[in-house]
Amino acid sequence: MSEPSSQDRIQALVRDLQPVRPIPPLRAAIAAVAGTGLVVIAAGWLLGSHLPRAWTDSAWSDPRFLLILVGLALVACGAISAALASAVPGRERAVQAGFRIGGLGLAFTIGSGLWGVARSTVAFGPGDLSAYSACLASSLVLGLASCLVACKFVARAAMHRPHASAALASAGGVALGAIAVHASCSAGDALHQLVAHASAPLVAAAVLTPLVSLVLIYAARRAARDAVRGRS
Amino acid sequence: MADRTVRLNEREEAWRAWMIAAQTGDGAAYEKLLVELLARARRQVGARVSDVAAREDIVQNALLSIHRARHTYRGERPFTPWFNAIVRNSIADWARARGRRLQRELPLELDGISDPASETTSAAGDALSPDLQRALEALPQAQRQAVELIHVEELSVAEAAERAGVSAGALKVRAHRGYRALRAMLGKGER
Repeated sequence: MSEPSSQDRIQALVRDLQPVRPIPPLRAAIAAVAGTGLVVIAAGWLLGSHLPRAWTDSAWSDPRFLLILVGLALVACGAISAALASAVPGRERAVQAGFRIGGLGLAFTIGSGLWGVARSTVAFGPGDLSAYSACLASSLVLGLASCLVACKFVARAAMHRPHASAALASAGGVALGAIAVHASCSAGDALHQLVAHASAPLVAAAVLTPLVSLVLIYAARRAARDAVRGRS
Repeated sequence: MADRTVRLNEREEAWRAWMIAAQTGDGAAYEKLLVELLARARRQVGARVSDVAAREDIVQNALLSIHRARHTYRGERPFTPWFNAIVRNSIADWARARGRRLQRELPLELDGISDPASETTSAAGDALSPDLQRALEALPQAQRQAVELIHVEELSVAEAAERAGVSAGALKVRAHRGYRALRAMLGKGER
């Protein structure tokens, strides 16, 4: 069984050539993912869910609260950018920039959370676990749509490492959801904010990655089939 | 130096134009592009991969990846980083696949048994050590065939499976059992 030569391979590829539609620019894809997250959050507000604290609330002047909020926004921006750029050849710089921004955001959120816990005198009670899981679940639900839209873009591009892309998309999407949860949650104790809000992207990356990887692999196979049929 | 920069820019522009044309279905532009990229991919792979036998496979995989990922190139971006990333990914894929293969296979030489392939001169088993030759002959026919096809004739698992008329999975099982039996016969015992 002889292997085809590279020249034969080129001829076969040329014969197989079909017109294709280039993927959208990275900026447009990031805007679409972030926009989806914002629409979901706004829809929640319309339904009366996760309404942000009143502007007069003292939390808005608390630097720890604000740092977690800014950190989550940076994690969302960085992780989503890195996830989308990781599927496009030649966009390594965008991936690295996404990692740096996301890492900085994570340092902000976890650092502020730990800072608050270190200064806090509130004791942990058994009832806190249900509050943690409720906030984490809300972040996952609010972030899932953005995560899936990110997966759609990743699967349509040239996904190389599905698990890494899935982890980044999960962390980024859920960080968006966690912003809404953090801005609305009435629980003000530092441990709650650290575990249930600041850690949400990490929890999402750990919990959702296997499932999102499967979605990505399935979607990539479908996209490849569509490309063969000339629908790409 | 300035001439070289001008040449590089011209080539970059030509590749970019050919790729944009290829995305609209222009076969002639696509063929010109792939022919030029083939030479460049060979140089890049040759500089990074020491396994001469694997180089052409990696180059062909890179060409396939370019074909599959051609929709991910956007005309407003430079072409060369896009192409270089695809070649790098092809090399990384090959290295990962080789790592997995080496983990799955049982390296006879690690147990002090020399690799039969390294002792052959021409046809299967011609120059094997007498002990190994006797042990090979004592194997059941199916196991002996699997070991010889993979390690003496150096066929890939897929080729060996086709030659033996069995599935790749079945061939790997036969080869694995053959290695185990060889090891036991040559007094190395089970790991």
